[in-house]
Amino acid sequence: MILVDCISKSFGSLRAVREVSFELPRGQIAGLLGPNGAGKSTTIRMITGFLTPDSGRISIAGHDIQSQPTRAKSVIGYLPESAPIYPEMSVRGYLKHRAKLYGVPGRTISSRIDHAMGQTRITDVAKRRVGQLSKGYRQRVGLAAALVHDPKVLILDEPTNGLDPTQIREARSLIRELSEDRTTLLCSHILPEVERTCDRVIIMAGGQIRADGTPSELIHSAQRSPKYIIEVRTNPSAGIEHALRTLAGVPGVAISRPADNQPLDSNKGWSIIELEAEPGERDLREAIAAAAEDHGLFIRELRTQMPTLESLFVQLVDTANESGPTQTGGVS
Amino acid sequence: MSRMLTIAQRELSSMFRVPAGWIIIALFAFLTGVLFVNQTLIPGQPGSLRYFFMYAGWLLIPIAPAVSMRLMSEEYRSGSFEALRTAPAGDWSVTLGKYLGSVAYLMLMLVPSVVYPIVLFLVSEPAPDWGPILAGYLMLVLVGMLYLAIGMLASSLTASQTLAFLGTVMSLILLMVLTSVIANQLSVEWAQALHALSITERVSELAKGVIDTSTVAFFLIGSVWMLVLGAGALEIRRLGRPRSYTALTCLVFVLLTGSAAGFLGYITHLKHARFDVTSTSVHELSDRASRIVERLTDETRIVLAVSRSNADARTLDLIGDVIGAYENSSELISTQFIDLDSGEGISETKRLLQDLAEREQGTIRANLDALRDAAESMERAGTRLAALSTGLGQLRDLIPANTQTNVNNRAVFEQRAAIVRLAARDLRSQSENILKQLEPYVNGNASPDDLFPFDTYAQPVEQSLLQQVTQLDDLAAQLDAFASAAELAAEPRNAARPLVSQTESLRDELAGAMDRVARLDRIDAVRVGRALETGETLLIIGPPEQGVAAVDLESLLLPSESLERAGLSAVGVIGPRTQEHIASAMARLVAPAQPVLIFVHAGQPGELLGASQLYTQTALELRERGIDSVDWAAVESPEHPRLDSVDPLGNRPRVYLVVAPDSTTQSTQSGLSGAKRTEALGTIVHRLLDSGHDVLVSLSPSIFPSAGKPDPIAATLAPFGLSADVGRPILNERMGPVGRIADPVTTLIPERGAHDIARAVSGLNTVLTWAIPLEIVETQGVAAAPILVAAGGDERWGESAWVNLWRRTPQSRQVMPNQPVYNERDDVRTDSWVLGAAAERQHAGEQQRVVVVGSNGWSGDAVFTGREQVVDGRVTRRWPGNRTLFDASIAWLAGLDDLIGTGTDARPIATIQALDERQYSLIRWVLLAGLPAFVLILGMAYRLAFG
Repeated sequence: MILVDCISKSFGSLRAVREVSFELPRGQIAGLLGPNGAGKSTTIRMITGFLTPDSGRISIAGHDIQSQPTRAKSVIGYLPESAPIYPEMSVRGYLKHRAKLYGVPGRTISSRIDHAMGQTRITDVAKRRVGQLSKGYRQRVGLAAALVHDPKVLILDEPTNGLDPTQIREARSLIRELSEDRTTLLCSHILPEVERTCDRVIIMAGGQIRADGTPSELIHSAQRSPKYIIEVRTNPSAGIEHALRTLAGVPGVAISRPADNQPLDSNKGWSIIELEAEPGERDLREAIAAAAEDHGLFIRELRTQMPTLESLFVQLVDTANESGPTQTGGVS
Repeated sequence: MSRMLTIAQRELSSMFRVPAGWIIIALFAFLTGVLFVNQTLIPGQPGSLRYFFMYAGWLLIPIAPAVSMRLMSEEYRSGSFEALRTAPAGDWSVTLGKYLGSVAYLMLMLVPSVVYPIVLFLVSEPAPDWGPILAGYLMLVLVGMLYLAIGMLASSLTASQTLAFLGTVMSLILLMVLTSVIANQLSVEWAQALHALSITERVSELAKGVIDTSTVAFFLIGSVWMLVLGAGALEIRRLGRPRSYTALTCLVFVLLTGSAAGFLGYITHLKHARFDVTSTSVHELSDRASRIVERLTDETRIVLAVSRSNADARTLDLIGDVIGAYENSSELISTQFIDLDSGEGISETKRLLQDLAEREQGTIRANLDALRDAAESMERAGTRLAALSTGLGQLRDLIPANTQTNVNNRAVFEQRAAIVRLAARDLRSQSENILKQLEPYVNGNASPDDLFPFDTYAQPVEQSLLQQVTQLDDLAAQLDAFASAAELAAEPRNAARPLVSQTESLRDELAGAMDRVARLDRIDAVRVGRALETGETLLIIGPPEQGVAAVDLESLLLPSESLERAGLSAVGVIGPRTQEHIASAMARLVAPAQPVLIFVHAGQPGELLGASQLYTQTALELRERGIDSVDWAAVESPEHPRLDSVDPLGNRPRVYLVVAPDSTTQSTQSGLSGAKRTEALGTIVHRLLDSGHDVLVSLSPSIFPSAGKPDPIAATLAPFGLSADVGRPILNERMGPVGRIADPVTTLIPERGAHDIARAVSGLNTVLTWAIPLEIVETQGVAAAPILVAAGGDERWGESAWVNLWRRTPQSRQVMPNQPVYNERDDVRTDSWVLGAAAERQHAGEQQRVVVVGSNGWSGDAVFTGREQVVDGRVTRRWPGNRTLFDASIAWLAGLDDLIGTGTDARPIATIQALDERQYSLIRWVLLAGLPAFVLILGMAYRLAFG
């Protein structure tokens, strides 16, 4: 439904997007992930026809965005970041304007508007001025505007930006609901949002795609060994160094280091330690517990931490920042 | 298309959803209200919205950018541009849609202003002309469209509304300055190119009621170009290419589209049409003026030099309108406006004079040479005169002082010697002076704009030379007489003989010098320079061979007293008058040769044209226009007067004006009786007509018919198929101070006739005293037509017993008992009386023309200089028909048919009536407070209704 073929875009000396390609089949919900400045928005703006790529080709439902912009754009429902809407217009007036702009036939406009307002639950504010609405409502009006012409493709740029947690939850389920029969591209820098809503995740950093796949695929393909978090009490005189040394000696443990967050009662000898296993190691919890016991360390907690999308994301972004373009995880 | 309209609709409705939208409309209504009340609602001023529209056009300079500034900038700033851009509407739809929305808003903004024409219709009488009002609205819409398009472009370039507003206002002001102040300081070509971009000129043209297709095209092309650039700016934004690349693309794009726009503008300028939408067509030339313009052969300038600070701006505008109409009527006419008050005006004057001097360089050179030659021969003559003086002294000494005759002769020659000595000194000092003055000019040391003042030198030199020549003539005759006096001694006589030839050769030399000075060519630059020096002038400058004609500006700017009495605005009549004056001045330039008028009469020499005589003033006026007049007392001195002085080459058309004498006067000791004079003049007229001359005959009642004889002058008209019933002049029955009187004064307003002259006179009040009815008889080879027809009826009859009345003064006629009464059925006509006729025939292979006016009290100073009055809404002479009849007849007789005016076409001009204080303050309150308040209330209601 969306075909992005090797697009690039530079702004002066900044190469914002570099040779990005992907294809979204009908009905897929894809999340475009990446830190700020990764090129997500630029990519989306090229897909929606707001910007022209320097090179490459984009086609929406078979229509090239550059040679057939009107057809291609008619298929897209787009919610831009922060959903700017003319503040002086009424909700209904704005939706009507958008419907006409997208060429919705005159007699169906009214029913389309009602439907879109129903879907986004804004029927109660239909007559209010957009400028008077709360941020959440305005976001939903933007969403209704993106839906009013019943698009086959829905593109949402940071749809939950600036919403409160309740609203975010609502928005997520709404997006899920709306995406059922549409190809959806969701752009966000909030991981859980994407992880929970999307069939597919595309991670961008430094203007390039770093990873592309279903969330579980990505986690698997990362092939990272589990991490162990252990909270122990050592003899205050021996300090955390003693514990680190002891645990590093466990066969199969590659790295042992103090965790970023130490417990509040660390003055009583409690500390949290992170252990990283050698790749391909089995479960080391028993060995760790045994070693601790042997060396007089009192364990309060020991748990395995499986790799997450976030850790993958952080890892990808870090590598991107450090070493420039590399393909990671065998995906994409 | 529908998407574009959707955008336009949203843009428009959005203007009405914010308070600013309503406030701008209210503000515009208030400001235009101020303009209307201050600029238009002035009692006595023409009832037109011309100045209102002009100032409203200025008002758009800040208003339009205020509307356009938010169009794109607001979208950029709020980010809604992204939603708009990603909708399936192209850049062009977005640009055009937004633009159309703002244009629609502008049009709605103009809606409250329709109140002003309505008020105008209420307060002006007669009703104002709606054509210029519609043109004014068209102008506001077109100007608004251009300003909005420029604003649209500015708004497309920046996300800051302030910047968009300032950018637009600044570029509009820059355009104004470029096309006015800057353009005036550049060379002619650049100035013209920049003037073509002038918005101000186009605004005032539309405001005065002239729609030019090129002006409409200018605004449309300009707007479209700006919009194309605006749409281009959006595309550039989408491309987001590097700056250097973008700058280059922009430059190429601007140049390409700019040259396309320029080319289109040029095409529409080449093939343009002007429509004068005023109902009276005041901005078009009359038929006559057009005919004269068509006869121009070479570049002709119309130069108006006034001091702007002294003149009434609106009067100047009206004169400017007419000059503009002339300029537009022909490629050959260029116009120049010089403000005598400004420094710019001084340099323009200099430039004009230099320009003229340059094209007359050859003539100026020749004149300088001729003057120098004359001065040199004066110097030589001075030396020889000194010698002659000595010779005369010697001659005196030779004469013995023996007889009384000899003593007298000695005294004469002594005196002569002294006079000649003085003359010698005089001539030498004069020539020295001239040569000194001439020197820098001859050597080319004088600055180019400093012209030798030929006219101040030529005349005194010519005068003094003439004096010398006359004296030498006299002296030569005296010497000759002395030399040939046989009774005198031989020796002095022999000594006198060589002096005779010496004197004669000296006289010839000085006569030659005089001739050279008299024949100095007229230098236009000098005349123009003099005219500009003396103050405000309107000059028509033709090519060098045609010269310069001046229009008397003061006669255009009439005293308003007489107009006020007629309830007319002073400015109302300026337009038509300016047009006629310029036409006449131009006609003088293009006329192949102005006629010479020969006044043929039976009185004493100089009786008609001498000081304070019958035609003195008229002749002076004619002289001003290049028509010379010659007095011929044909009965007293039957020899044809010499025309050398006025027509040395003998190629000017001659027109004879025959003034019939009073046949009733008795013979006195001073001369012949009236009857004899009539007979003698009849013979001369007969001879003139017989030899093919063109003659204007003014008839007088005659006593010949009562004696059973034909009137000798009337009889001469028979070959032209014209007969005059001179024995029965027309009387009119009126009520006088003491009852019914028979009045010999016939007044009429001629209807439009077929003949050129009849057409010229039609509609103009005309007066004839002692009118003679004419009869046109079908005659082989003669085309005769009436030019003056008076209605018949019971109050007007031909009276044969007229002599008693004739002999009385006009005052005593009114109280005379036994007023003539018509008694025969034949005396009255029910249809009409022909009182003037024109006839032409072929005579010896050439066309001969005759005009007969059945009255002799119809032309001349008494009638022409009569007080002015208003006819048909136009200030004219008291009897404009008489003057027009005279001018048209002369032009027709001289074969200058094209110069015959086509008559009056002026109409009463709509004028604001006087308002009483209550009406005035009511209108003021309604317009200045009521209308804006109404708009604001409407805005609040709208907001309440639509949230």
